[in-house]
Amino acid sequence: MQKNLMTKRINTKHMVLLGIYTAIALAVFAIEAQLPPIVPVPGIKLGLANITTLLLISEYAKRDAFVVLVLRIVLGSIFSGQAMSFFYSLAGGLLCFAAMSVASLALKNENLWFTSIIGGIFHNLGQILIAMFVLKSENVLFYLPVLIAGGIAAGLFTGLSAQFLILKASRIKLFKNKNF
Amino acid sequence: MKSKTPFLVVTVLALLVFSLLGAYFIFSFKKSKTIAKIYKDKKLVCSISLDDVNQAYTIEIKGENGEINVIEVDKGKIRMKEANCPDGTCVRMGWINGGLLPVVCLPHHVVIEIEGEDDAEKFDDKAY
Amino acid sequence: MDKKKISILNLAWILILTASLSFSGCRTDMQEASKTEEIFGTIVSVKAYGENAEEAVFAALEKAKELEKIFSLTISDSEINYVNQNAFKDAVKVSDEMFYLVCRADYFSRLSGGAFDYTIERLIDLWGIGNDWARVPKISEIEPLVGLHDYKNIVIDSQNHEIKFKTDTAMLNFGAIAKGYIADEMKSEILKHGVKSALLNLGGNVLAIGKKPDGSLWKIGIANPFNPSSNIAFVEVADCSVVTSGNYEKYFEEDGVRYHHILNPETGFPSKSGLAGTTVISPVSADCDALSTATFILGVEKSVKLIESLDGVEAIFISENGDITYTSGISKYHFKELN
Repeated sequence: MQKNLMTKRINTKHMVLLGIYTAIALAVFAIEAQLPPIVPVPGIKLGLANITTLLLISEYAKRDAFVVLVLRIVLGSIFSGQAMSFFYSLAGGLLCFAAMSVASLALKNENLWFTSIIGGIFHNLGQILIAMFVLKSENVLFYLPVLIAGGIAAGLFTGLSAQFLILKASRIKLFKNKNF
Repeated sequence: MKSKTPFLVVTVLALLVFSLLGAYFIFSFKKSKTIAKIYKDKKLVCSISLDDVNQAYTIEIKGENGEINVIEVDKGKIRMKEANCPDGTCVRMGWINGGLLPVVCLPHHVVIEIEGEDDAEKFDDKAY
Repeated sequence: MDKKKISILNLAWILILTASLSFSGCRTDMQEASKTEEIFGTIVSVKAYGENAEEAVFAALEKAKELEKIFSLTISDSEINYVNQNAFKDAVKVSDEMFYLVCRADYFSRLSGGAFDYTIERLIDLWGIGNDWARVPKISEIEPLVGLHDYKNIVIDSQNHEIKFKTDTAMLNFGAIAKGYIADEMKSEILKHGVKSALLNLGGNVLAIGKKPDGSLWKIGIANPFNPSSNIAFVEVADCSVVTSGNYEKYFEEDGVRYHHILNPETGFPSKSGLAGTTVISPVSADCDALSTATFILGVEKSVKLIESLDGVEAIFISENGDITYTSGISKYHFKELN
């Protein structure tokens, strides 16, 4: 798998797969956006699209996960038509990705649920930082404990979902043929 | 190799307990005097002494691109009554009445904060 | 069975009665309306009390938007932009509102010896403070626009309501008086609706109409220039405007130096008179607006003399070292410092 990451050559199959994963992530993202928020606190949501990122980090390569994440955020913001949400998503998404990369490296791809929790927490941290900057309000920081708790809950859910998915998918050998 | 899972579970639980304790403290905090300050695009729109409100009324804040936020003020409490922002979280947050958490409308850059004391005096308005 | 029906009917009646009673109770209460909108690049909020409050607030905001179309430099087809583009070539016939404000601005320009100058749009535009393209211009760019006293080069034809520029450096900018004038016009709109108690705030310019609904004076805080979110003092007024100019309102930083938005027409640079903020109180908001800028540039000594020479105007000066100076009649506004 590490070899995949190193080969710079992009072949058609690779590209198609990334495209499919981006489409899946976007679809999940769009569906979640239609659901009413679970908790009435700005910034708290399940982040179902993170399942795709987790899947790619653990089963493919971090670089692929990164590409799909950025594509999903850019396209998602364009489709939803909100310029501001782009910055929130990007800050949250990038911080989440960085934290998950480190965590998955340290855990050697085991305990995906924990990686996901770390991602959830850092995603919310990124959002709160942007909110502080945009609104120039330090009081926004009082949301931190709530957002950490929310990040843990959402991260656990998406992490277990990803683990479950990988378990099921490995039975039908979905990821068996992943050497592009 | 020893499994890391128990260690990770304990870490997460500890973090969860701490954040929930923090959240509990923040939610249960109550300021003595309640002065609400409404900000739009980082600028103070108005400050209201909530204890002095006798009859509920609304304040409408309009932004540049047809952004509308309707804030309702009542004795001792304030809330976002209506907003045409995409997520509507600010409206769902409901009333606040002296806690630490501000009502935030992220898409419209509207913040309602409660401040404990305003130079120990109550003012009708402010020249700046 | 019958008994049950009757008791339900009774209950309904009681409900309707209490509801109507509580409704009529509401109606006798004081009406209150308040609205905030972004007009003229600033946040304008209007609060009115009493009968017709709702209509008065609406009309006042409409008036402000109407005037914005005349005086806004950011609206490309505004009257002021038309005048600026054409008045050097030919005399331009202007609206009554424009003519009035040119006359008032001319008066304050002469009164302050050019500290307040409504013809320095080119200098203001050069700096661009308050815009994202704000920068420190080159000396060679500033030089030709300094010390022009172009307010003396505006020909005002009061018979035909025409204006002509004698020099091509002159361009109008009412940034230091228009907000005050708009507040005054909003006030007359509110009074027309029979509202006797209202409060206007145009980006920090306060205009109090009448007294508070309970008959007490309006208590207006004055921003602390060193920490604008808090107040340094307050005054209590009725039928009065309170306007503050300060170096903290709009500024940008370059190479660690802060450049605020109040330019001295004599130097072409942000004013360095030793003042951090000035507050002017008088019944007319346009006067307050113009004088707060003029005094900020003139500095304490000249400003105290200037304000003392005017009837019905008082002022508070806060210098950069924190000293507070005020004019002799300030006590009638119950001026009080806060710590």
